Amino acid sequence: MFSCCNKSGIHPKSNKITRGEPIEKALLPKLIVLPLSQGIGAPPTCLVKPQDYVKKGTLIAEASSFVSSNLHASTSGTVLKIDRTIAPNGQYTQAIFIEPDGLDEWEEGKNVSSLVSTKEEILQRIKECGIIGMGGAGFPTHVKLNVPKDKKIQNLIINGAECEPYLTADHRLMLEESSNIIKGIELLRVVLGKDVRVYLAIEKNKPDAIEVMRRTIKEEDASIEVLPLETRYPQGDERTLIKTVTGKKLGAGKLPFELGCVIQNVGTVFAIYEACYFNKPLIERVTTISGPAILKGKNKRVLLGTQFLDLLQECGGMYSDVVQVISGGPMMGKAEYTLEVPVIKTSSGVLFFDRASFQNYDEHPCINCGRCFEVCPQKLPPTVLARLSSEYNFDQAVKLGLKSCIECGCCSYICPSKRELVGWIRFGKNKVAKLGKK
Amino acid sequence: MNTVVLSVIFLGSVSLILGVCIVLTSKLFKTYENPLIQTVTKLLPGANCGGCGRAGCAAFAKELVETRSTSMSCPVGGQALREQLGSILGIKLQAVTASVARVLCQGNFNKSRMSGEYEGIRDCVAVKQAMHGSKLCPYSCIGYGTCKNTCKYGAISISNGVAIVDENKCVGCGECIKNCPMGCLVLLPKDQKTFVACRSQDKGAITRKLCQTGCIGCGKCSKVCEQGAITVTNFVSKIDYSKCISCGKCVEACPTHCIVNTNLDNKNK
Repeated sequence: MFSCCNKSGIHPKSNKITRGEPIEKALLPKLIVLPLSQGIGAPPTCLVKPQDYVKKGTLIAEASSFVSSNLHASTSGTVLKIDRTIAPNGQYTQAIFIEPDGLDEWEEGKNVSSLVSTKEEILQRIKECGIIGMGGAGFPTHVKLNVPKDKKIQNLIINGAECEPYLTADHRLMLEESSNIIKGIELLRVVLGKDVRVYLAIEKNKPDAIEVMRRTIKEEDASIEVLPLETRYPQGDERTLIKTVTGKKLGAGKLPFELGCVIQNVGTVFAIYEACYFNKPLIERVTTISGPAILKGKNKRVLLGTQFLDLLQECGGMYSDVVQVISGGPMMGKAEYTLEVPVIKTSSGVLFFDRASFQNYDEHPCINCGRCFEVCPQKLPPTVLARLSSEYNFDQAVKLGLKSCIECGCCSYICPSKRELVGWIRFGKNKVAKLGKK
Repeated sequence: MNTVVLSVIFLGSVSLILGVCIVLTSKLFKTYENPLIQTVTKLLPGANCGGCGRAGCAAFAKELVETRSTSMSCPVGGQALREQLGSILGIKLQAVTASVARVLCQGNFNKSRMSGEYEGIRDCVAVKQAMHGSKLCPYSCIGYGTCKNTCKYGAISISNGVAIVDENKCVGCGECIKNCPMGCLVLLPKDQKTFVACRSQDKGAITRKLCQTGCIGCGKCSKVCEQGAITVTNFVSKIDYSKCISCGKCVEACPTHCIVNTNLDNKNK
């Protein structure tokens, strides 16, 4: 009924100002704050108590259920306390505070060459090392790779699209670690079966990454197909990517393996490589620190638990009129209200916006122009869903596909009346999820 | 002329046949409904607030007439309704203590530390999604009026960033409690006018930093209470209403003014 147009998605200015900045190692901060809950799933059980001494890579919290992931200390030091902190999503959460001793000493047996090669060993290693999807959602990777036996995986899609403006972390990773990413992909091929087709999806606005990856694949003689994708947002979204690569549409609430697909982010693949070759737990990630209000944007390899405050100092500070700090990409990220927020496994970027680049619009009535219908990648009627949600008419909204919304924000971006479309839809989704539980 | 007569005869006979069908079906498939249910439904307030725990007033009436359970009660109607219903059904309904919703937070813009500047949908649930709340205290009232919007009796108002319940208008249906994302509202006995308007389980020092009027768990109230009705657990005072006599001594003793007596407040005004 509503699928009238094919040109979904939007084209925001890409603003990849840090694309030329090589990945640098961030300095050791004064304080490490590791929230127990780093992504989707149950928070892991804390294994340490205050005054304990931990080394880099020590397991400090263990997965409490199947959909949960391990957490490791990101440097050596003393556990100060276990207290609440503000996580990047704005909520209070329990966290382990570690005071680094400056030695940065590795736990025995971690970060040494120890290659695993069988399917079971690789899965076990991924689970032990606490690897979760580093693109944004943070779904535990061992769960994602644990495909039911009756499902056959035909396509492995490696997501290097990085469609969010400003972010260049995956881009730099592909340029600098191309052969290691391919090693990671080969490990995934072992897990998913030899005959799986591997696609590496990269947006066309990264021609250097496409070229480097193609060259390395040729050198390594790997059978990976590099897919240059049209530059548009939300190209890197799981559902949109499946649609682009296979042409099939994934229904609401379904997981990609039901269409025979597994999607892994480039950053996750690199983490898998490090885990399986060096037994290195996921304790650091590449994060883009960028935005118009920062003196020098950089791509940093940051220890998990480093607070935004410390990152800011390394980049030379920010201009005085910063009005918004966003964790993640500008489209789907969360605005923060304090800089004492730690980097977690899913933090792909930290962005600083000043008054000039941050416009605040007044909301006007809907003029029924239908632009939100055109851009919605899920072919939903955003303005109708938003209106129904604001009227608390959730039954009707669910009928029209409220639950299929991926909250990409295209509708709010394109709306000429600057209506809070995705805000209301997200509100409706939250309400429906709560009502469903009762 | 002929056409007119013909059509009258035709339409008349069709309606006659259909009428006979309707009468027959109504006789054949008749279901008995207790007329009392209608009477009781009319007596009930009709707001369908769900305060009784049923889907609405009609569902309450049906269940009451069918089961004649004396423990069922409509919190909105109170004593008068209970007597009316009792006389119709020939049973004596048990008296229940009337409840009133209380906001366990007084942290307004002047008294508590705010977190960030929020721009977006003016609704507590939406604020809770974006950040943990409008104030730094994780137990605080957000103050964007979700409870006010859901109250069918107009008993809640938002003043200076914190919800206030008008106890004369509140009927104790509990609708606001279901919708509050922070859990700041509770039902307390209506005749008890003293309550602790804070639920912060943080240590005193932390609470004090975040809010001027939070319970810091100092225990002064439990010392002055002659009835032994106040206990401090998890750094927050709790009043045992089976012992409390609403003397107001704790209200005077509380250094942060987080214990409130609505009677005293009204007199002071």
